[in-house]
Amino acid sequence: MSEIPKNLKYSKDHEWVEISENIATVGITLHAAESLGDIVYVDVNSLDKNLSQFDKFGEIESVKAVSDLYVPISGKVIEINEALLNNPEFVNEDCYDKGWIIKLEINDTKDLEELLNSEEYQKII
Amino acid sequence: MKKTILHSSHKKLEAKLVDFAGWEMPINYPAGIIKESTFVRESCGMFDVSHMGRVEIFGENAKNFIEKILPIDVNSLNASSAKYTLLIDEKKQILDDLIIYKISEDKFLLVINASNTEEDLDWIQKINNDVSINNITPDTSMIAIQGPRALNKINLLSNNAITDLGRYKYKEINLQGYSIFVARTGYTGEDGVEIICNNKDAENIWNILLENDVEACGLGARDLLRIEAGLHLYGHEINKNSNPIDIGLGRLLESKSKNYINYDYIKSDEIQKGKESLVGLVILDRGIAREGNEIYIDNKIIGNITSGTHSPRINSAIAIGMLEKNYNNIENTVKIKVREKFLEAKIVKLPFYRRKRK
Repeated sequence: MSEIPKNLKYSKDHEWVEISENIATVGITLHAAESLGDIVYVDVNSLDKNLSQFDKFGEIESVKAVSDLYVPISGKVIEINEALLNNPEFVNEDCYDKGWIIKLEINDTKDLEELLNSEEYQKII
Repeated sequence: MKKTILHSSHKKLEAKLVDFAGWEMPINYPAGIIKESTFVRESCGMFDVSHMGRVEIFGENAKNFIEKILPIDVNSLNASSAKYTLLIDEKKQILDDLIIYKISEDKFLLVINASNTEEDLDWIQKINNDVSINNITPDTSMIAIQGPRALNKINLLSNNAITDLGRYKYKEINLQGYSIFVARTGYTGEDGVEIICNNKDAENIWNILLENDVEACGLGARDLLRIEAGLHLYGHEINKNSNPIDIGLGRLLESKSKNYINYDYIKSDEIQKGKESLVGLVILDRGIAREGNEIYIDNKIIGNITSGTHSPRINSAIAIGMLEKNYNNIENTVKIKVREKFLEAKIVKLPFYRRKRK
């Protein structure tokens, strides 16, 4: 069974978010990575954009399928994990660490109330 | 959903199972599609293909009947040999692509697509009046063992029983005490074999192969490998209304006998007047073109994608597409509409991958 880190928050669309002061790091969950299978492209077209919670921020594509990516929290996209452009397999290998996708600058954390904790997320997968 | 005899073996290996033509089949194992495809290209992988239909046709008039329903030159098909061919009905509709094995003058085996098994059988029964037709699919299992080391592995396990087995030939051999039918055929672009065995032996044979470092591979890898090799898949590159010449299979229409129900059709001008052709496409932008995506040149739709994937050998997305003939020049650049984006692609000759022959 997929292991779900306890320190993260989760969206129903299978993104995770980690908050450190005013920076939110976002990726997809192991459950999502396993469902997609071998990931071959990660594309983010929202650098420097202000996005609202659950807005689309990019696409992730595996050999089998393509899937939209949504921000689990409102904020401005300030960084993309450049390593993923050439090494999209990082998402399959380690989705919670070197497979992170974007960093957002956030104003507040009230959006987190809309998200799931690890136990709640476990129940929907 | 129907299950093959090896279903529990797939579960044991933690395969991801999906519905394929009414069968619950492994799309991939934990290694994943890309690694599985690489096992086959570099070493040896195996696929459970027991869902494919296996039908025996036998009786005094079997040869005549085969000549009537298939576009092969039945006299050039020797015993212990196989041939790739098409099943075309009396309305010129392609019902299936298949491999026919000649067992003897009065016995043949057809291996047909799982998705078409019922319709093929219905039509064959309808045409039949004097041969016996036996669907052995439920009683047998089938495993494809493919890759540069495939023949070696089988030889090691069978006292070198297939050192003399030519391409598209088959024989009955003994593999570690199990009697199997082994044919040097496949659907990956690699050398290898496809074996048919009794259901009761399938799991043991599968396990023997696993113990000998043959990697289990799913239908996802099989699809990737066959696209790289430019091989047709029914429902994608071949459809009911396809013109066999347009889809690059004109060479299969070799019948010399007026006994063949479509003899007039295959010799007609009509079949020569196709307007389309299959091409390979290498995607230059990031993204995979998939079945149904439209192909454009100068804002005009000139065709559709029939299959698409990502190739670790080419290191980019690749696709097979059906194009209007006027536009099929190699090296032409086209645009493919993928969701809301247009991806640039280059037309190339099929296949994308060709194995080095010894």
